[in-house]
Amino acid sequence: MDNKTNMAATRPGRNREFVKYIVGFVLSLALTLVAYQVVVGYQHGSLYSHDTRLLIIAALASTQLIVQLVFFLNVADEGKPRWNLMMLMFAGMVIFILVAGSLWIMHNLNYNMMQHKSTTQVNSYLSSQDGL
Amino acid sequence: MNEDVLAIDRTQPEVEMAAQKRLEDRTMFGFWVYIMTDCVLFPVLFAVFAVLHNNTNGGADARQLFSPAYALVETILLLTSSFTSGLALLSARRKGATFTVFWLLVTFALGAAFLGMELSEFHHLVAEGNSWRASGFLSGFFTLVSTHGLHITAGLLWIAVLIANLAKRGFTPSVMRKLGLFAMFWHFLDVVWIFIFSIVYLMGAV
Repeated sequence: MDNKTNMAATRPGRNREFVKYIVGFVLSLALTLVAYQVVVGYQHGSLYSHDTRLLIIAALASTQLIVQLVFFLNVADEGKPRWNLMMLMFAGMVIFILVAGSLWIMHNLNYNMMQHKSTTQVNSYLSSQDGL
Repeated sequence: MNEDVLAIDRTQPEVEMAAQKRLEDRTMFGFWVYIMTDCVLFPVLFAVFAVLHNNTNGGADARQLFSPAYALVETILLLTSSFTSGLALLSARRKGATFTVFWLLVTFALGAAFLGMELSEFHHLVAEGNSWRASGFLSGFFTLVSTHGLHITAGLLWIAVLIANLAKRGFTPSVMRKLGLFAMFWHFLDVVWIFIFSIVYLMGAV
């Protein structure tokens, strides 16, 4: 105990780092459990639609990404010029183009390549996509 | 890089400290750039999985194959090991050798337990005929999850090397720097796993 107080007095930044790790850990754990509950607790009632639940899970995962970037990877603590943050934003841009672009193109390909399907399959696909 | 350190005048401690700090900042940034490239690699595999996840070739889909509860345990193991790797780094900054090694061992044990669970899941899937050859969906799944598993394996080796380094040399600037890099790498792997947990296991079960 004596040793600990001494440490805190001489190095004030160290305790703050420790608190940051604890907060990050607790927040991440909570977000994980909430996301799990959204999926597993569903059988009890149909409070949310299928798409809403997917959106909630995506939102919780993105929140946890930010929590871990701030509390574990210390992105916000960097002094200027913030090269690490700039690299992160550049990676984010590349990721957005790759992922959104791939899903968009592949979805369109899927839509336009229905020749091999039966008429019933095509009709049900069109009705699910366009409401035709 | 090493010449910088060797060239400085060792009789002036503040000059050496400043040189060490510069070297450390540069190394951390270089490693961050590597992590950002990995950060592009994983979303590409996620996109492949997202595109292929409905192509089950008449076989079992995510709902039938994966258990969210099993994945939750894996998630908690990895999250806790990410936390304890941070504690190891903090202990090292306080020059507490015993605690540093203790937290590194805890991190290793949790990471190894995670890897064991993942390999056991793979083994069950393959044994039941649901290998990566069964469908596009499973190819995407195995590629994504095992790439993460390979990173975890590399991280476990890294912990072992760190402990050996620490035992041999103590808290030299080089060992401290590597500890910092390792903690960054391990936190990053946990971030990637959150998305595997959310997209593959949770969204698959919705």
